[in-house]
Amino acid sequence: MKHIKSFGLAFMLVIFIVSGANAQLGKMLNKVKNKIVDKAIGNENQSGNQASEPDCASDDAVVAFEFDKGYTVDMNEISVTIKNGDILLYARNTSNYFIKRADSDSPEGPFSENDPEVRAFENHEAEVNPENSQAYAVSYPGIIFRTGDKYEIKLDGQTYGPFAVIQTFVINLSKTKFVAAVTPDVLFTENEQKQMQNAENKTQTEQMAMAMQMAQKMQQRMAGGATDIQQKIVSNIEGVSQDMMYNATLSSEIKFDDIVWVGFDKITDLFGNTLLNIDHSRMNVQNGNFWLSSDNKSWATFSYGQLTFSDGKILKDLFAPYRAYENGKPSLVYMYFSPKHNAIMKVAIPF
Amino acid sequence: MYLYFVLFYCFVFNISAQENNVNSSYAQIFASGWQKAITFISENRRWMEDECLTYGIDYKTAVSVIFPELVRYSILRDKIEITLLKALYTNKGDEYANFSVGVFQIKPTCAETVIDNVDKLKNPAFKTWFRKQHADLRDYGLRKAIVDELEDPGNEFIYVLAIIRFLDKTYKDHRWTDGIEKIRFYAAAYNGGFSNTEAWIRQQMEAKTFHTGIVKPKECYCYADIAADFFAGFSGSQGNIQKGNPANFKSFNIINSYK
Repeated sequence: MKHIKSFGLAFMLVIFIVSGANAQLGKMLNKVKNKIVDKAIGNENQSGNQASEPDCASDDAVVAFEFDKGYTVDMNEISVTIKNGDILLYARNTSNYFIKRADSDSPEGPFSENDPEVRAFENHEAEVNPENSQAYAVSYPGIIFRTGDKYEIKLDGQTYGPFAVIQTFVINLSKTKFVAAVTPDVLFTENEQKQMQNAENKTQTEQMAMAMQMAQKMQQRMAGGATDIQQKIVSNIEGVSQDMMYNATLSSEIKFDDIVWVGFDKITDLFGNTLLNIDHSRMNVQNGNFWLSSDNKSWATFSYGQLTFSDGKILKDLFAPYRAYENGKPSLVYMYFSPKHNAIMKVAIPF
Repeated sequence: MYLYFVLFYCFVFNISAQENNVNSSYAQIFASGWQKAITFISENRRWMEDECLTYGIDYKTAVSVIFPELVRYSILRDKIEITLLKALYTNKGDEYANFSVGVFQIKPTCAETVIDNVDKLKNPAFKTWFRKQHADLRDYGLRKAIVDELEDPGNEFIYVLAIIRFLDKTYKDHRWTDGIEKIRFYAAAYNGGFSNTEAWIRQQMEAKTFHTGIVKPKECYCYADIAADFFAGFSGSQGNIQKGNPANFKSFNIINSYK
């Protein structure tokens, strides 16, 4: 009987709309009509009012961050501020930042936006694409030091250098292994190169004088014979392959707590032993989201919310994957939003 | 000594020459990002042009207005991570997440405004398309449909055209100084909010807020100027490679493989 009444009302509304009521009224009545019709035919969820758990949801997931508890997740237009499981939170009422660490239940803080704890979430670009040796010194305080015009690397009480240029510096997660591509000496220091770049603002006479001065320095350095301008590999690990430098790049992101060489067609350990042959049709090893398992037997890659494993398994609608020790095992950890829990959930897969 | 002097002097002047060229145009500032955006337009021209014809929109205006977004997207696409943003928007609404989606970088709230204003476009083609897409959808269902549409270049382009149609209708009596002024105005409206007031959009024509980094850099650029720069140099001769169907969309993925 109730359904018949609903259908009757819906029918009258449709007639009213068709008979030429004005557009705004028609739009409003149309919405009412839709709701009534949906309810009458038991089709209330057809419009998608209920969200379901995503494809990657797991019974083993734990709550990483619950929404509507006084904080919002800090996010910009293109990304959410999550780094290795740590989530940067923003308290709208006080304009302060808090950090929910992956291994802690309650957020740390408050912090202001210029505090180093907050800035640490922003240094991704500097790490990935340092413009010069100074960028490494900023990214690795306590490990890379500037001494005069050169740089030194200090780890576990040992000092390496000084080097005029650090082209590449890679260190593992627990900071026990490093490998760097360095050049001990250069014909012109970074400061001298800057002076030359600024030469265009000077008069021609001043440019000539500077050219003379620099040419003299260059001649003295060449004549001195102590100039070592060959790029080389330096590491605290014995036997790191020097040859790989010309055919591969170093990465500390692919294998958990380790450093590997990534060549065009293979990934090798630091000594040049092949760990994985690269199949370019399936693997994008250069995107920073490619991982090799601890036993070198499987791999996983992440792109646009999708985690793909070497055995063909695919998990969708997840974000911020990273490597970590979870429950005493090296794991691949990912996050997803759960409508059911109104929370960001965390899942760890031994990997 | 003389040889060193000559070598060094040449080196200094070489640097000066390079420095002078770097800032000569936006094409050089955005370098590969600009080139990838040009390639994108070349490879997707035919279907975009066909859609412009269907909906009565000037093709050159459309591609000029979206061009800076194509540059931004081509540079950032591998760094963009919007899975959580999408989940928050679809599940909890725009007060939790509002972010640019897809190759043309339209925000869901902007798409909602387009849908709310479809009747004002006075164009049956738009009305039919949007009605078909969103019939009986609301709340979560509507928000999910919007995000899905914005992630599909063929569908997202209809939103682009609807925005331009809205501007064509709203400013149909306006006398533009020239084509450049119109493009700068339309680009500012597209980038900053097409339903805002004329005064606000005119302010945006001068605003230097455009950048292609994850974090806002010290130097930003004017979106309207970049669009105008592309418009001014638009030859109209970009290749006619694809048949007129969005299904033939050529993504930046394919372009990247040419590197």
